[in-house]
Amino acid sequence: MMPRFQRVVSADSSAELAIQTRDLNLWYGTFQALFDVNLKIRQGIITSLIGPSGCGKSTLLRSVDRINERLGSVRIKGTIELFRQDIHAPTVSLAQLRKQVGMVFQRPNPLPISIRENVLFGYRIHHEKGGRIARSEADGIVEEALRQVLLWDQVKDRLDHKATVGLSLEEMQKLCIARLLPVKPLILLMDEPCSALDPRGTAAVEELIWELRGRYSILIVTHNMAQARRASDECIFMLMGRVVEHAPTDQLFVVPAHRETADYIEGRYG
Amino acid sequence: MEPGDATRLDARDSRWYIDKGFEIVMFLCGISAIVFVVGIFLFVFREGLGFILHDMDVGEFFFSPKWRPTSLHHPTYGILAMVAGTAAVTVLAMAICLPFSIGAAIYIAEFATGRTRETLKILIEFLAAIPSVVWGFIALSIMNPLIITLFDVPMGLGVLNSALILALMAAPIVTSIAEDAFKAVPDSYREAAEALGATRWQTIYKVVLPAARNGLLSAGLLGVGRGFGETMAVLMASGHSINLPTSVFDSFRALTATIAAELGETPVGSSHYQSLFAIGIFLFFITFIINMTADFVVRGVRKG
Repeated sequence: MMPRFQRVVSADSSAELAIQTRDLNLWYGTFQALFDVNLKIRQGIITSLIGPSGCGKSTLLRSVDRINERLGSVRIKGTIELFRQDIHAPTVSLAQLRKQVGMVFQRPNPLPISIRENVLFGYRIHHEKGGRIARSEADGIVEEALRQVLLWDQVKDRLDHKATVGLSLEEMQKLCIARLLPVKPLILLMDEPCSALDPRGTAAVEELIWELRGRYSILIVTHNMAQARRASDECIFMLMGRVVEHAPTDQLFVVPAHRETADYIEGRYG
Repeated sequence: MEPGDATRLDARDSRWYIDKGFEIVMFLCGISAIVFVVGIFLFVFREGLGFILHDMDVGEFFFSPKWRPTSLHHPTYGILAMVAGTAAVTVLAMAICLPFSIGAAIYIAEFATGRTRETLKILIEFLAAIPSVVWGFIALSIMNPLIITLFDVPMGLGVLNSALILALMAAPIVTSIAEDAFKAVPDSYREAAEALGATRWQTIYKVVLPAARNGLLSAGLLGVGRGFGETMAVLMASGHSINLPTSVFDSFRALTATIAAELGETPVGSSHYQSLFAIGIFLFFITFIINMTADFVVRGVRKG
């Protein structure tokens, strides 16, 4: 599959921004979860979000594709822009937004349909002709997506099996990544994608995420500091709903600019 | 040293006896359900057995539409007309009831929130609590004249009237079981579909409905069981004449209504009396099969 956007990571700080937030405040009912978040997340790299539980990192991630609005009681002030378009503009269609922004959840959540149909699900719902596509085209899409997530060889003989049974958690999580690819998203959001996996699965999925780097802008929430350190280009440290520090990963872990960051990465709390 | 009473491991104080007693009482309550079901089955079977063994002609019983148990010279016991009437009304009632009930369940489970949802659920439970004789009253005094004027037919009692009433009676049960089926679909499925850009309708149509399929099927089967078993409302809405219905306005007689109407007037132990119990056994088997099927289907949900 030829990704639409294939840009080399540039060291130039003026490289195009994938996500930009301005004075983002977010409330769940009366509880304020985000305070004045201003972020510029560059395109084509992996950015990790770290911080102790309840610091708002998942909330921030789930605001980018507006999936947290499912909860109903969410209120937002400030803006989030993807490629300089405001995602809360009244003309924005959620379907289009979520086509551009794929999401991987903490627990692998394949749909209770066949592996093949899982991969095709997003493609079908965004397809103009009501999802009716030729068998050969569908086969090509499925194989390409599963090959990209390094899952093709394991599942090629059981594409018609139900995806919710008989797959390991690691395979399910890879499938959940694979089903995002046919709709050609620009941004991938990952909410602790490895926290349900064993160390081997974690290594495999991390390797996959690293493979996808460059073709997609990836924002990944993680609890695991070692993971953030080895698998991201830039790192954002959040605390109590605020962004404390946003820096290249090497720099943040070696010479953190803030006392709170240093304490957290040394494991004094969190 | 002799151990004191307090340290004896086999000491049985009052708590031990209360616990044991409680266990026995609960056991009795638990098995009483089985005892009663088996008891009812044995009783009905014993009363009907004489007829089944001696007077019943299987071919006549199932395939003759002539139910003339009181004929002096040649009594016949054919239940075909009643089976056909009951089946026709059940099918029609389900055809009316299922779309509405499943639609209502989708609205309650997937769209309604907060107070709207609670109010709707209470109203639907209230609908389930209306006694069937009240439904029969509605059939006689409201639906009957309505059908006569709307369709210009001589009588409004019959298949259509009964089916409408049965549909209304089955709707609350079907709705609440269908709603449970939707509730049992993990929210992560909806979240996954919506995160992929599916609209609410696409999520329901492509993910929630297929995932709830078994639960919906069992809701439908329980509705069918209700249709087969309902007596009083159908007795009042059907017109109660023995007739193989050929149109929805035809009068018919339900199996259950026959038992209800005739049992009090037959001499205990007579062939007529026993033949009514044979109908009871037949109904027992039908509802048993329907409930078992529903049960297996639901179990399929848990496994899959």
